[in-house]
Amino acid sequence: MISRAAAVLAALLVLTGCVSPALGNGSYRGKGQASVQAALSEVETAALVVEQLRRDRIPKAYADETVSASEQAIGSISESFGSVQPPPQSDQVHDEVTALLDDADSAISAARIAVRRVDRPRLGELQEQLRQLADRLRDAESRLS
Amino acid sequence: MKRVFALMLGVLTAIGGFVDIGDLVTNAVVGSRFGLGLAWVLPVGVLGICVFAEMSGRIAAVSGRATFDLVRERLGPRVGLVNLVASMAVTFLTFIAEIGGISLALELATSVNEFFWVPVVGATVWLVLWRASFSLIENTFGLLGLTLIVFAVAVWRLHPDWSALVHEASHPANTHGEGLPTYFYYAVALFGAAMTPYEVFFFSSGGVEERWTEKDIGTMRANVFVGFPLGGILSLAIAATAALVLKPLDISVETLGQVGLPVGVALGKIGLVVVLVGFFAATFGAACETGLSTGYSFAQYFGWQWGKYVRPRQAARFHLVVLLATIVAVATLLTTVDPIKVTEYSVVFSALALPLTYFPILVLANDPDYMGEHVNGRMANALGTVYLVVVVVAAAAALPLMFITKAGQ
Repeated sequence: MISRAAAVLAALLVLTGCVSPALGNGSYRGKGQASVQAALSEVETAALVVEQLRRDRIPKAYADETVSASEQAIGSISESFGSVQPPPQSDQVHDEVTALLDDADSAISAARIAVRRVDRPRLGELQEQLRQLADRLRDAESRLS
Repeated sequence: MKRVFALMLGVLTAIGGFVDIGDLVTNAVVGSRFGLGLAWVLPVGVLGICVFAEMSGRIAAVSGRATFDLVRERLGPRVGLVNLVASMAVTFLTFIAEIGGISLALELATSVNEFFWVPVVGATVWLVLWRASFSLIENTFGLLGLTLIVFAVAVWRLHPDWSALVHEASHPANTHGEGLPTYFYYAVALFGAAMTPYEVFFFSSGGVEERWTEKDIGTMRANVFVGFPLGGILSLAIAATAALVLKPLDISVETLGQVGLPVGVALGKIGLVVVLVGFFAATFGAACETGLSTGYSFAQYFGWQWGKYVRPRQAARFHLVVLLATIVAVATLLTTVDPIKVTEYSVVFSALALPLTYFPILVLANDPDYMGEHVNGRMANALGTVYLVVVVVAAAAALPLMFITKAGQ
């Protein structure tokens, strides 16, 4: 009985391709907003760490670990949002949020590389880039709410 | 002079030992999301732990016997077993979180991955519990935990608008765009973080270990009523730094690194080094307390020889429970479970289990056969009853709020 249930469950997982079921437009928008909000937290964390490292006010190991944790978190946020099947008429939300999450992922990865190298000129550029990205995320969040 | 020194040492270790991974994480999360809009929960929780610990400490001083032993004798093996299971579940979850917290603190200090540290930390904690004396554990980590005062210094150095801060703290309101269920979910979590049962069991079992008598009740009360509230101020300072630095940036705390960041902003590298010492001391001290508490719970319930005041050979089963708990905790963490998530769940389950651990202590403290002239007075009973209602309400609300809010998301 248990093995039959497990087989049915496995078949369902294969058939659905491990993609979460489609949501309604409103729920998908809410999911997008929550993802943008979570991404904003990680981007601002990276920006704060980069700023503090530039000013030599944070140990390198601490900065590295904190930015690496943000990089890992943004990866999970992206993956989680990407695994949801967008409902019809939500392609714009999907494209906008996905692009923002990709930008956040790239910017935080770049920040992690610069932090590990303590590349101060690059840290300055990235701080500015991360702050601008944070503003875009804030705009998107308010549009999605 | 010796007595004054002992009193001061007790108060200082009570302050330094008050904060653990649950307080660090929960206060920072709440500060970053609600500002000081939930600050009202801290005095409620701190007074609650004072009432709980005072009764438990008084029972230990008067009877010279341990909590689980007395609960089983007074309320029967079934109620005793429920008390044991509820306490053990929460204490063990907290033990896992504390070992994870030490590993995370070491990762932040060294950049060496936490999973390398987990077995090293587990082995070190066990070795300390096996070899070090009770007072050495209590005093060393309690005093080192005082370094967390750096959060209070950081609040001052951040030059906040004090009147706005006090106004926000003294006018409970959910004005930060979070849903009401989420607000109350975090209220329950903060309450659970302040009123963790293991602190009380460790405190009262320590009383038995240190052979408290009725003469020590005054010192015990000073530790509780001075040390714990001052420890609560450290918790408030952690929430305040997050409210001042992280909340304006829309940073929601998810990692231990984020908890310390505001201190770096306020005080630079030296501040962060002190924070790391504080994280290590608070989590290591609490890991020792929760590790010992797992052994205390089992041994006291089953009537085995227990404690650090006898040689390990004489309390072999007690030390075996501690060893097994450490191995299972390390194995759990090596499944890559997030220690911060474990912490967040542990404080909510702490609130959930509170009535089962609190009620038997209230019954015992009211029993003149056990307490003689030190039975609960009117004040202790009034407070004890009010808190019985509070812990029941918090426990009843904990799970529904957890499901409704998807654990505070």
